[in-house]
This record gives sequence, structure tokens and C-alpha cells, in this order.
Amino acid sequence: MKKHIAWYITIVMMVSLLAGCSSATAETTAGTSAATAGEGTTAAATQASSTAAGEDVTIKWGVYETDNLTAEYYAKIIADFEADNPGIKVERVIATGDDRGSFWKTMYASGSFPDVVMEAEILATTDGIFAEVPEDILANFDSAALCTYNGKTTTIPAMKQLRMQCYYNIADFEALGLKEPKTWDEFLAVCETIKAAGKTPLICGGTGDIWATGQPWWISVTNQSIMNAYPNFNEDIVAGNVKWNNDALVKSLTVWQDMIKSGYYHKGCMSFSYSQAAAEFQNGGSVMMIDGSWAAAGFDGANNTDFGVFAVPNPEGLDAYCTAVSYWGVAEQSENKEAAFKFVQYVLGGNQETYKYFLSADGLSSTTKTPVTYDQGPLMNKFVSNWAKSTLVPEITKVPGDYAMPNGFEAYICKSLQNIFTGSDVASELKAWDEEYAMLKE
Amino acid sequence: MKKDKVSVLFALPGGIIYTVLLVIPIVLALAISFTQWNGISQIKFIGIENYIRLFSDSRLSNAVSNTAIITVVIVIIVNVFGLLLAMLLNQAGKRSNIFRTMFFLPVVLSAVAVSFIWKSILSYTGVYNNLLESLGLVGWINNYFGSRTGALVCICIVEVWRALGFHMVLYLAALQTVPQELYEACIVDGGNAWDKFKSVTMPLIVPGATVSILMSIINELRVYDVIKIMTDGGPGYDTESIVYNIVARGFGNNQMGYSSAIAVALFIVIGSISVFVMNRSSKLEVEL
Repeated sequence: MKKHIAWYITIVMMVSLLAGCSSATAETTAGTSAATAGEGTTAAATQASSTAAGEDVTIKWGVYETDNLTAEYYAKIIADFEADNPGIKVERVIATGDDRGSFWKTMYASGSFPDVVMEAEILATTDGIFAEVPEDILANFDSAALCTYNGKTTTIPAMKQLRMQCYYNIADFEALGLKEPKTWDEFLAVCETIKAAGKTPLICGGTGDIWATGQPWWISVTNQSIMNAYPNFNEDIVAGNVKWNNDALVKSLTVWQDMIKSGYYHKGCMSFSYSQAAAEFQNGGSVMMIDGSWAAAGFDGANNTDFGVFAVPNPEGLDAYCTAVSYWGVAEQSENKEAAFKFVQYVLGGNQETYKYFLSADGLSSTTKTPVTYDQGPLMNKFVSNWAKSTLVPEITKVPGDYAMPNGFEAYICKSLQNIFTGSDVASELKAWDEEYAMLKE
Repeated sequence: MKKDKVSVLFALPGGIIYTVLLVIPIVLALAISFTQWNGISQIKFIGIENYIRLFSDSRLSNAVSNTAIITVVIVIIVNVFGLLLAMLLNQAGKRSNIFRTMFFLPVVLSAVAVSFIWKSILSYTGVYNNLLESLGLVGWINNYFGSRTGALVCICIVEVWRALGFHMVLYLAALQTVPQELYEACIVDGGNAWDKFKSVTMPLIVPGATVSILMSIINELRVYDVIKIMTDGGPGYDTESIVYNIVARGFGNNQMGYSSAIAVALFIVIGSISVFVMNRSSKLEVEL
């Protein structure tokens, strides 16, 4: 009797063990996790549930949420598509946290990769992740925005983002008798005046969002200085004709560090996430903040007229700016590629109203052959007009295709810029950039 | 014989889980550590290149330094103060349950939730600085996350807060195995409080202390979650730990082979330290 009971219990435990090992389906929300490496199999079955003919097809759309790109924002886009495309359902998979690249890689490694992914450029340098885009879809987009990876076009340009300018509190400027600075010396004078009045000139994010520390300065000033010194920087760095530890970069980052040492930045920057820094700026914690075009869209959306914006003057007097194109990709291993491409085509220009809605939330520009425009608010119009006569240059760390930065290098730059923010020697940091770049390029 | 067969069958499910979730990944990590692999494309065997790189990687050296500092500080604090608290609780009588619960509560809380809460407390505009300001101690206000020292101190505070209760319970359990007659004998022999501690308590709690010290060393050498939430390894790389480096290299830089090599090296270090500690403690154990 005891023996039979023992056998029975053992069998029940074995069955429960096997029952717990069911394959997981992708959840709509998942956090990044320290998954163990080396799971072995590279085959990644997607989560699209391809059912028998006549039933709905479901595709997964990998997205990220911000203050402007909310759950309701995505829900409307999905609702528009589903209404016009009965038989295709779309589920969101949200990449939480700031490191979306690692999130997508984790999902790919675990076999849960979405059918359609935003910010596909992060993974596109690796062969086999995204499907080659059909020519008839590519024909709808501006050829200047298209890019190839090892000779193949595997990503679709979704939107173009005008990069960063300096927002300021209008009331504080008026109270201090300040005007929007047009030259570098005027900008320094503005900072000094604000500081002398007992206020904080600038603020940025810190450990909460590594990009928010150095990238505002990098994008609005340093990038243009490097492109001025090395017009083909990305090609040159790949070919080994130029190093990261170059005079132009040392000079630009030293200027930035001098501003920090002069006390122009909020003392608590390193404590803040980007959202906290933005909130602190809006609540009067600083008078100015270098931020993206999405901030202008956000202020306009909230009918907030308390803030103005100007292009950050360049220390070398350059009048240039950069934009970044962001791409979508359809997973090579998607079981519903046709439905996935249909969704991409619909949102990115197929339905003009949906595309306008998609672009307007973050103040983005279209990448279609025929530009898609929409009514923008006053601050966004000012943002665009600030660069009406400026020269457009590539953004070094966002160049897609064969001259893209190696995976992880942009995050490395962001962390190194934090080191510079807290006082590390600029030249020493940049020497380490060359070593890291060489290692990651292998 | 029959009992053995039934025992094996009962142990089998656990054995299968252990093998699948622990042994196989470790073996796979060891295999991948000899390759160059981005986690997606083809694997390329490169021999011991990843292990050679360990010694020239300045970012890893920085992570090792940070991990060593955190480990030494936390191990000393949680074991010394854990023992002190346990000794006090051992004298507390009926009220010891309340205090034991209070001190153990942080242990059962989610590390992620705790990290977020402490981050908001220690932030420049957080509760602590606001309290200092309201008390008129404006000169004490600081940006604790703005420097390596400040950020490491913040991480250590949270780790101590989380772990102290657990080690206190370990020491309490060890203290409660010490026979009272030995303390009485010590008193009869003219011993004072220090003599009781040195000659009775310490020798007899060596097994418990070994477990506590070993667990604290292993836990702190693997610290990741508190760092990820509170500082994200920052400012810059100033608070990156070894495990943070492993994750960043593996999933951020697509260097699965190299990150596996770091993980294997960490595994060997932890294993070596564990063997050393257990060997040393076995020589200090006293049998009654």
C-alpha cells in the first residue's frame, strides 16, 4: 500500500513538473530581465497565432511608451487599422525601460520576438532578424531615408525626428531681461545672468536615463562640430581614418565640461530620470533645458505657452542641425509577414490620417516620398522655423545601414558622457572610446 | 534497496529541475565562453581569446573594483551588526518575536520595489534632502548619486537594510544552539561577559557564522538588481558591478561569448572563495 502511494505521489509530481513547462506566449507588457546567455537554439518562433483559414490573424507590434506615446495613442492606431482590415488583429508588446535594444534582443533570444518592431535600426545590423522589405512598399518612401544592411533593405523608415533645441521659461527670461541668444557668447552670458540671479540655468537627466545626460549637448552641438571637422565621419571611423580621440571632439566636450564646472547645471542632475528632469524644469527647477522636438509637441498638446525654444548656438559659430530617422522592421521569422507588412504600410502613409496622428504626438516629420504634413502648434512651428536656414548634417550615432555604430556603442558613449559630466578627463575618456569601438566592431 | 529506489524517484523531479535550470546553462555558458557569438547569428570558436581579454578590459576592472568594495563593506557590516542584533534579541525574551519580525521584514520585500523607494528617498529632491532642509541643515544637502563615492554609499545602505535581518536570524538560530550550562560554567570559572563571548559564544556559533559569511559574500559578489534600479551602473560606470557588466556585455553589446567568459570567471571565483571559507571555518569548529 505504501509503495503504491509512493508511486502515485511520484507520478503526480512528474506530471506537475511537465505541466509547468508549457511554452510561454508573449505578454503585452514585459520588463527587461537578466536572462542567462546561451540558451542554445537560435530559432525564434514568433507569437503570431496563425490559425486556420478564415479566422483572424493576430500580429504582435513591439512598441515603447513615453509621456506622448501613451497606451491610448497606440490603441487608436490599432483600432483604425483593425477597422479597415477585418481579419487582422494587432497586439502591443511594450518595451519597458530605456534600453529598448536589449529588450528586443531578449525577446528574440526567448522566441517571443514581435512581428513588427519599432526602432528596428537597433537590431538591423545583425543578419536574419528582419525580413527584406518588398520593393512596392519601399517605393512609397523617400529614397534618402532608405538604407541597406549588407546589401539588403530590411527596415522601413517610419519617421524623422528633428533633434534637440533649448527650451526656456519665458517668464524667467523676461524677468531677467534676457533674449534668445544667437551666438555662443550670448548663450554663455545668458547662463551667467541666470546663475547670478540665484537660479539654475540648465538641467539634464542622470542615472535614471543615461542618454539624458550627455546626448542633449552631443546632438545639439557636438555632432555638428564633428561633422564640420570630418564631413564623412562615419565612413572614416569605419575605415580607421579617424579616431574618436580627435581635436574637434575633445574641444567640444571640454566646452561642455567647462559649463558644468561653471555651475550652469542643476546640482541634482545625476539623481533624475529624464521625466523627473523635465518635470523639474517645468516646475521652475531650472530656466532652460535642452530637449527634443517631442517636448514642443507636448507643450502644444497641453496648450502650455509658458515656454519658448531656440536653437543652441554653436561655440564655433556653425549653423547646422541633425535629424534622426527611425525605422520599423518585420521579423524574418514572423508567420504572418503579409499581415505585418500590411500593417506597416497602413500606418506609415497608407492611411494619411493615421500617419498624421502617428507623427503629430511627438512632433515628427514624415519619411514618405510625398511629404505628409499636419497642423503643428505654435511652439513646434517655432522649433521648425529656428532651423529654416540651417544646414542639415547626419547624426553620427544614428546613421543607419553599413556605417551604423556597433551595437552597444551609443550606450557606451552615453555612459562616458556621464563620466565627463562628473569630472573625468575628456581625453582619457575618448581614448577609451577608441578601444571600446575597436572591440565592439569585431 | 526498495527504500533507495523510492528515495531516488522522489528526488528525481527536483534533480531534473536542478539539471535543466542550473547545470545545463552553466555547461552551455562554459561552451559559449570560448566563442564569439552575438546571440543570434552563427557561433564562431575563438579559443581562450575572451579569457585573455578579461585582463585588459578597463571597464571590467572598474566593475571588479566596485564589486569588491561593496562586498567587503556589506559582509563586514551585516555580519558584525547581525551578530550584535542577534545577541540583543536573544536577551529580549517574549518581545523578541516583534523585533525579529521588524528586522526581517526588509528581507521579504521585493528588491526592485525597495530600490525604487530608496532611490526616491536619497534623490537630490527626495525625502532625505527635504528633511534636512526643513531642519535647517541646508549645508548637509548633497547629490548622493552624483559621484562614485556617494552612489556606492547609497547602494551599500540599501543592501545592508535589505540583508541585515536575514543574517540576524542566522546568528540568532546559531546562538540558540549554545547550551546555557556552558555560560554558567564560565561564570563559575570567573569569566566576565567578554570571556563568555570569546570562549563560549564564538567557538560554538562558527557553523552558523560560516553560513552567514558565505551567503553574504556570494550575494554581494552577484549584486545587480539594486544597482540597476538605483544608479543603472552610474554615474557613468562608477557603480557597475561584475554581474551588471555581464548583462551589459551580453545583451547591450551582443557579446554573448565574452559575457559568458566573465560569468564563468565569476563562478570560479565564487566557488574558490566558498571552498576557502568552508575549509577555514571547519578548522575553527568546536565539538561539544
